[in-house]
Amino acid sequence: MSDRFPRRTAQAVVLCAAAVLLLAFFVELLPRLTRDQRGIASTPVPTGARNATTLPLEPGQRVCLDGVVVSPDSEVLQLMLDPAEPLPAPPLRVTVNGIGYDAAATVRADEHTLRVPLDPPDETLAAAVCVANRGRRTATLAATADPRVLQRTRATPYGGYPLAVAFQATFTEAEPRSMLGSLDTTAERAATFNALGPWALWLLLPLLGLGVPALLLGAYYLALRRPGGSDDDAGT
Amino acid sequence: MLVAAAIMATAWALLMPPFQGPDESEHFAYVQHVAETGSAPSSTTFGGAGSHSSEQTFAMDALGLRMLMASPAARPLWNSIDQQRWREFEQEVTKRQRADGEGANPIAKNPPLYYAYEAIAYRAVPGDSLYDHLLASRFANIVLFLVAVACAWLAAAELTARVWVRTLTAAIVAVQPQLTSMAGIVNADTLLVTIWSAFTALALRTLVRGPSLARFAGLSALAAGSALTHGRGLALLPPLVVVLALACWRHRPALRAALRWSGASALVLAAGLILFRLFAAGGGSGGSLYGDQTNYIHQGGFGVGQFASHVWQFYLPKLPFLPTRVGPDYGFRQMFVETFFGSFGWLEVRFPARVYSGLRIAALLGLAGLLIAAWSRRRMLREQLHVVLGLVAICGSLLALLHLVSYLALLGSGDPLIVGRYALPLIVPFALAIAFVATSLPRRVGAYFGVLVVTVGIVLQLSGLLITVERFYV
Repeated sequence: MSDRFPRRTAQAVVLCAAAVLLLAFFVELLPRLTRDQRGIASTPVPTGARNATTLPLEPGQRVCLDGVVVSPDSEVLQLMLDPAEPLPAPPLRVTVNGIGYDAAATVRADEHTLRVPLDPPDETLAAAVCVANRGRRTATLAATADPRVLQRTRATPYGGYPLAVAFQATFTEAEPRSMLGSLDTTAERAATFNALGPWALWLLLPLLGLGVPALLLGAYYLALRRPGGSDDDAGT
Repeated sequence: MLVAAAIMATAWALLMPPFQGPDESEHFAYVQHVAETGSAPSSTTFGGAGSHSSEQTFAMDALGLRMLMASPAARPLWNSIDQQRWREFEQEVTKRQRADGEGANPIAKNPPLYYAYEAIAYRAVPGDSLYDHLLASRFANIVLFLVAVACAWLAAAELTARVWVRTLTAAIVAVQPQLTSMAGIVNADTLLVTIWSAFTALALRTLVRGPSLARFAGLSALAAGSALTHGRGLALLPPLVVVLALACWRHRPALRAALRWSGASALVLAAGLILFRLFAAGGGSGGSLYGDQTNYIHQGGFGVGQFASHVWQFYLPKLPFLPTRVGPDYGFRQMFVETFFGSFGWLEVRFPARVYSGLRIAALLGLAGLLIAAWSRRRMLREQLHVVLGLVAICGSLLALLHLVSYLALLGSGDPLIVGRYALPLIVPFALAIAFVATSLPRRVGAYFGVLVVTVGIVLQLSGLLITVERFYV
């Protein structure tokens, strides 16, 4: 018996696959694309880095990270307190200073994740991020001794020498956005690290979303319609 | 099919930040050293700027790429200040700063075949920037992947004239997300996949159509190429012997011809061995090639019973009389589901747990389906016993080596040293097994089953790219 499938069967098979793809798009891909999340602007000292440690801040003590790049989308500074720190934590004064740029806020943490809203700079610049303990007891920051991080920045107490630790600090955007809503930013960021530039990524988008399924299902359809062999083949 | 495969692999190449594939930083350092100096770096001796060139080291540190590795909360430094600093460095970088990654590079224990191939692409690009060189190396890797997809088609073509079955087999290879992601980065594993895929196709041709001088020499060249690519490639030598023996047993060539072909086969292997010795003696490997795959031979404490128990518990629950297994609770799910179908980056970019659970159920159902199909078509399989044994030898040899190395590694450390991508050289037998199940079903149902498998692969592929973009750029 010839193994060529009738046109209707082949069409039904491919339509069925297209329906599954469509379903998967709505169930799996679209929710991920449209889910709002606070975008990360930069991670001077990322959370969850290796060699986790802590950095105690005595009352009145101040500690800084130098050479931290702050950009116009650095709207919230996220710091972490040691998970063992009793809450509420002592009030902390957070300042970010660069050339022609100053931002400051005083916060009292009710959670171990501390989100400090700041006025971002108009242009990207290098700055020092400082945290001072304004309370009456020690506050303990979550920190890292990961050499990959320390190679870029270290915590330096006011008037002291750089330490072999850095407290965790991440800049995020203030308003949550979906991936779909920030495609241009994402493409620009990704293009920063390859030789082709954003155009290649924009070209990839339709090719991946439409071209790949069309090519593969098209190939399968044509294969189903091609005569050749029979059900009595050996092996497969 | 090849165009679709190329698009998917290109997406991985463009979206994965530099050096964020498994061990990519070391693999690229090896490529760069070969391309810039014509020789391999040392795996044991410190020299120059260390395991990476000055250029690569600057990129990894100044752009946050080292900090990014396996650290899910970290993001690369895409800001304009760090990028400008990088561009200024790139304008001034010297040839010496590209060539001084003299070692010790742990990956330099690998034989040089893959890196020599990649160095051609590295040298071929007109630009001088690290990004140009890295992208060219990644694109060269994609070519290897496309060859593997084509080999899947050829392998299926030896077993069936039905075009849709060949298409299905090749499509399964093309949409396997872990394989495609590996195709988009610099890593010798992809050449190993290509060689094993070509070997599988040629072995099937030899077993089905009978031996010839070209086929024996070709199989031997592929086995030698495998051994010259990676320590895991040594596992292709036993299947070579088995396939050659099975082909002679089945097709009964004249003794003289068989001897002549075997002699040619031995000559090809000997040439490979000579290359191997030349590299091991004169190259930078410190005289000891392969590392992980052979170092553990000297590991003490090996026990046959304990090893058998270890392998049993890797796949199945512990029986009351078995000793407690060595090492962590790491087995079928971690290797054949989580890291075989998709754990990207430095294994930190993962699908949600429910996806792995679904894949595990699908894998177990598929395995059950394969057993049922084999039973229902046992007469046909008995007639094609030499083909079945050839495929079993190919799969069994690699899995046996992986388990042995893993067991020996666990005797000396807590690292099981076995992940799913190590099984990717078996991607063609894997795809053939799915195609076998599809063709064992009623005809129409088989066509639906086949397209469903491909569709799931497409969805996994797109999901994998999406979570990778989310992890690195959002």
